[in-house]
Amino acid sequence: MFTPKAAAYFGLCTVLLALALTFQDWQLAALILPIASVFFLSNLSGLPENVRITLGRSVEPSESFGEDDVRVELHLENRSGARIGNLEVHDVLPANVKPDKGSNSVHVALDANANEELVYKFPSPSRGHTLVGPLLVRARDPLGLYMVEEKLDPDTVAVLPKPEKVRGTELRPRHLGPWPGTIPSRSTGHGSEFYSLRSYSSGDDPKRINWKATARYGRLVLNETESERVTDVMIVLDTDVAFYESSERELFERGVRAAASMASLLLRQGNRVGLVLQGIERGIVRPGFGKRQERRILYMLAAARPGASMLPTGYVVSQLARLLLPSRAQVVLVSSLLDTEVASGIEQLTVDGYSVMVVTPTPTLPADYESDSEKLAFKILMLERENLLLRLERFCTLVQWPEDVPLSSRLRTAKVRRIRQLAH
Amino acid sequence: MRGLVLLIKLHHLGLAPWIVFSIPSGAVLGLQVPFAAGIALLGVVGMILRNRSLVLGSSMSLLGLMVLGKVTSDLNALEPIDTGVLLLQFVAILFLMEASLPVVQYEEDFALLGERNDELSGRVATRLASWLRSQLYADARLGIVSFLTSLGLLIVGSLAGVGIGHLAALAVFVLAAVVALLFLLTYRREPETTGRSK
Repeated sequence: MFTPKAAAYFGLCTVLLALALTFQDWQLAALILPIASVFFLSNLSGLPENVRITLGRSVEPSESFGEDDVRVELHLENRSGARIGNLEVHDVLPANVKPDKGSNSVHVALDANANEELVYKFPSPSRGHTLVGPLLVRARDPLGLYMVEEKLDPDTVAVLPKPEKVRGTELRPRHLGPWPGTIPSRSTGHGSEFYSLRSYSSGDDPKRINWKATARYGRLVLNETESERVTDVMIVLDTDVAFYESSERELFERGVRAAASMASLLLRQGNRVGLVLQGIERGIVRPGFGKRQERRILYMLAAARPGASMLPTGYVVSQLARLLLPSRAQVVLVSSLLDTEVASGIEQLTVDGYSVMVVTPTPTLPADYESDSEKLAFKILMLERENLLLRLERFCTLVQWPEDVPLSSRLRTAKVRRIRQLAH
Repeated sequence: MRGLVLLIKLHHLGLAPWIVFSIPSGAVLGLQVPFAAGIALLGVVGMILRNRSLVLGSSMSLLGLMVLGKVTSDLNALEPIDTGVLLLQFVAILFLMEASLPVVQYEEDFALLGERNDELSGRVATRLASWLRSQLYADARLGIVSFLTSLGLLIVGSLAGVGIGHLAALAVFVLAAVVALLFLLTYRREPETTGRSK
């Protein structure tokens, strides 16, 4: 297609012709000759008749935890049968991504049937989905009067949230699956925890005989263990963190990390795990097992952005739990709990028989406030949150996760507190 | 190569006085020196700052002044400048302007690489230098060939002896020129749409 420059030259010719006619000056008219010659020569030898450039791109790694640099290889093959001297190659990148090796925007000359490989690297972006591309390749004649554009669709670099190493957590849902796992089932079977004693019957494994009890009762008695099974879990990440602006991002990222860590742990333990993103961006990963499911969940978490949803979190959670989970299964809500309305939804879930665990990243206190009224507002917000925590503690497991504390230790503390409550 | 780039970067310093002092002084209200200095400065600053608008502005001003000078001499019935020189000036302005653009582009792309010394950036720099060389070579070839073609056509035209003053001949000439331009613009060129490949 013709470029604006070609149109400008055509306009210049028109002006020169008009002036030549007006002043009857053949010298002005003669100035059109070089322009006409340029058009003719450019047309004749500037660009091949049919410009065919095959484009390809490979991005390595396309998924990561943000530890490695991203290497992008652009492959160009000139299949036009003639040299293309003026080729502009531009792989569009977001404003926050700058190559530190090589360049995403270059001009090259490509010989007939030649292959060209352009490589550039950039530091891994922060968590999220980053688009690399589209790749725009514009072939022009030397003066840029004609242009042919080829385009290659963008690829996505997903920087996944890195799950923390969490050893274990205590879940006690009443719904359990048939497969062995780590959740005590309140019934005898294969497991590691002692459950009860019973008389020996023929065929029992002699290794399980409790010799002390046998001596006491005067008959063969053996240990029974509590069977451990898997369950269905739905992790809900509440992305509404309308909070003190400077701490908002950190609070949200901690929530994403908590959701990733919980998903990774629960899947490793063999549970069926799903994810619900609740906020400005909504999404669902239906419950599933295994490594692929972990990748799916982390991929969705990579796309999470902070922002409030149109629908209240409590309502969404209670509705989706019924749709996605068997009754009396486990729900894990990761929320900063800055919206007090979430409590009613969680209460409804427990009434319906679901076991609920709330993991809440604790907001960090701001270093200073802009005004006294802001300080007062912050205190009121924190008091409301404390009230909500007290209310939630009555019917669900609550894990408060302050900054700079490993999530694993907080999960262990939560377990101890819950056992004490039951003992009282 | 560096010498050639430097020459293109500073070409306004020579081109501007040549054009401005060859047109009738009345066209620039007698202010030839300030005009020449201003345009040269604009062009050189544009090249240094890698600002296309300034570079194009400077070259377009020279082009405008050249045409204005021609019109002024027509209006005042002054002795016209030699056609060959006029053509040479016109071609020089156009092709030095065209040569400036790849130089600006080269410097912009090179600036993006910054102070990087890694292998990938080195390869990009080499490709850029090769591209600039091929661009400047192609520009120079086009400039020389189009100038010679125009000159040749003028000589052939003068041999044919068609007077521009004859209205009918002029009309035919204009019509032929427009048709020729349209043909040159569209010959072997179909409007192409954006392609996609993978």
